[in-house]
Amino acid sequence: MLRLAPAFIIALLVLPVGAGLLMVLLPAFGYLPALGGHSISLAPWHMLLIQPGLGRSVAVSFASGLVSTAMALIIVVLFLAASQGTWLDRAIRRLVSPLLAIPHAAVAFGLAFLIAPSGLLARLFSPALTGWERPPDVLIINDPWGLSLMAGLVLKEVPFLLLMSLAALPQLAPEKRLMLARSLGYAPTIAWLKTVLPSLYPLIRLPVYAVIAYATSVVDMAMILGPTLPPTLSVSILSWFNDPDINHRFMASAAAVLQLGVTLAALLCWWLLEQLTSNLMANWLTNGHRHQGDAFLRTVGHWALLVSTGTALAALVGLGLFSVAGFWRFPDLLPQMFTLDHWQRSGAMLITPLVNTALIGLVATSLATALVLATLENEHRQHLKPKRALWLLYLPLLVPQIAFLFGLVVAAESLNIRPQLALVIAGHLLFVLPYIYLSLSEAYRRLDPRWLQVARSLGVSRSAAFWRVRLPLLLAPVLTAFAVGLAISIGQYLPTQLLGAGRVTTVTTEAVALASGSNRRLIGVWALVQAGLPLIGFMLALTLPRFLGVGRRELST
Amino acid sequence: MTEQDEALYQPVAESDFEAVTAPLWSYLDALHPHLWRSGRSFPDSGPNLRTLMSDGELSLGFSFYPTDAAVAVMEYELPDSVRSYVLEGGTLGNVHFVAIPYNSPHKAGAMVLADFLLSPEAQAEKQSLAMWGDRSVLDIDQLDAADQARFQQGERHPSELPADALSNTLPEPHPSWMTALQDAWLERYGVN
Repeated sequence: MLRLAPAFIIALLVLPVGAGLLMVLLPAFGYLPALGGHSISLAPWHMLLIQPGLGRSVAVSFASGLVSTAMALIIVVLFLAASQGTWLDRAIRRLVSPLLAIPHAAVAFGLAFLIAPSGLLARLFSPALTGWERPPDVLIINDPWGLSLMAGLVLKEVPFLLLMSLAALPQLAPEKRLMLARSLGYAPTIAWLKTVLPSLYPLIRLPVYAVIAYATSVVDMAMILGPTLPPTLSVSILSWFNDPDINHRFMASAAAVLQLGVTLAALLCWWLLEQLTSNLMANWLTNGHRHQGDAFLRTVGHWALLVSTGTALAALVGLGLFSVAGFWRFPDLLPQMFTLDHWQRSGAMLITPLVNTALIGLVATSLATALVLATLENEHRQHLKPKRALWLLYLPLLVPQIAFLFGLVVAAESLNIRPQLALVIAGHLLFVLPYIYLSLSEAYRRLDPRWLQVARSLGVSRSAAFWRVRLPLLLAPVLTAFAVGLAISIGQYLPTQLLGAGRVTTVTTEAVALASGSNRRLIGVWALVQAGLPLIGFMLALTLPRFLGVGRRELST
Repeated sequence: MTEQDEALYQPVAESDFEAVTAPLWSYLDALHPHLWRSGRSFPDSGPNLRTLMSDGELSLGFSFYPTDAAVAVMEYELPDSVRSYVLEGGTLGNVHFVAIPYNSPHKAGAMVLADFLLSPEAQAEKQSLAMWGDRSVLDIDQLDAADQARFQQGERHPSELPADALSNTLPEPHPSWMTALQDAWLERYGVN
């Protein structure tokens, strides 16, 4: 049974992505019998290419993916290089996992209200310093270059990349490297950049690629912060798929294929940049300079992360204020009155989505955790090196959701699988599983094998050793991975909306639906609920091991 | 704007699109520099327009619902000094409709739902300001007394449109004009 786990996992992830891509590729070339497309043609592409602003859409999608990922990576790397284990560094690290849990759409709303000309920042200084009685007429949100979209993406990518780096770091024994470099006279930040970073980057390369793929094709954030004339490619695709004229679906499919191309091009471009950077830096690594730039890099490292974390928190505070706000006129810093009306009105409507969210999240995450544990345990028992094929696990993270989910719905429909709760759970599994694997595999492989050898030598069977020794020892990382999985599941919008045909409502689908209603007070309520749910998961993951594993604390690792 | 009003009520293919819409484009070209953000970005929906009013970014917004402002005041979005009015030349008017997908497996059920949406109960609920505030499509005078009572929903809110304001409702153009205008607009102003 256990031996089948890796094959099963890969089939589970690859087949739906493959089927989804196929059912997008066929209509992109004019073949979709249900809509009367019986022959292969290039007509959808001709129609796509004459859409006004297509070039700009593609350029903004491509650039916002690369720029935001590069910014986030630089912020994380410089923070890690500069961090000396002070209380501030530790506090920031602790804030990171809750920030990871806050859904993209919620951060986007908060940021929009923070930096808009009528937003919190402008109100802070108005009219006292600026003299503004009315908000200035400047285009900040929805700017044509996608700068505010990039800022929003950076806020969400930083916690993710930081968490992935922190998970990968221990196996590199950075203290030893630093000690050696320091003893040779290298300044701390330079020492880290020259001795730890070159080994760390290969370990976080896949998460970085996943971030690029996500950022080039993001929908919800781009709808709120991205440019409008024209919007990013992904937002255009969504509006074409939803066009009342169903013949637009052919063009939308062609655009989805184009999106896949844009994402692949961005990944390729990043790979070339990697090669270029490593060539350029090769000399720097060995040139023997020990202090050059240390103070500057350290200052940037501290402040950049502080600013990005602070901005994300301020965005949440703004949402919180709106959820209890009465009428709130510019340039008042606080609402004229506070009210619980918005929470009371939402109360009854929250129940079904909450139940659905919890059910989908718990089932999908439990299944995914069990499958990942089975794969890892199999790998351990067969003494296998991590298979190259496991790279396929990350397929759902590297292929843009918008490129294959519409096809997946068509594929399911043609197999007579109707949209329903089970289909939504299966859809969530696609995205939850890779993240659980990503956050659990390293801790699993690092567990000292001697614990299990001792157990076996005491006559314990393999499976008893797994249940009674390995699992309790790995309780903390398993629970953290579970919390990550829950957060990922809770944040899913497109898979829930499409595979549930809009009939399976979760907190996230309701929150995004409310976004089109633009009532910031209700959006505030739902975004806080949406952000609060994964937070509960993370808090349980942090505290449960302390209660359950009191006598075992000394044993961890 | 155009002199050829009657062309708007025929399919767009039967008229000279360029000639009929020329005055519109010259008007918009002149208008754009004076718009919010100089026409470089537009709010993507009616509710978004209302939010901009609420933020003080705009002094004026338009809406498809006669009671929109009243509902917004009740939900603390707009100040209670907001008032609604109709343009002097009259305004377009339309009603909502629902459709059933051709491959729907539950056509009968969908028709029952459509009937329910037209029932006095549902229409009265929809008209209530606490719910949606959109006026009913039913001719209230033809209902029986009990159903008529459902539509007695108290005093008019000062921010909503007076009941007689919509006497000058203009018919909508032929639907083909909407997509044609939309495409032409995107072609001209869709990329800035």
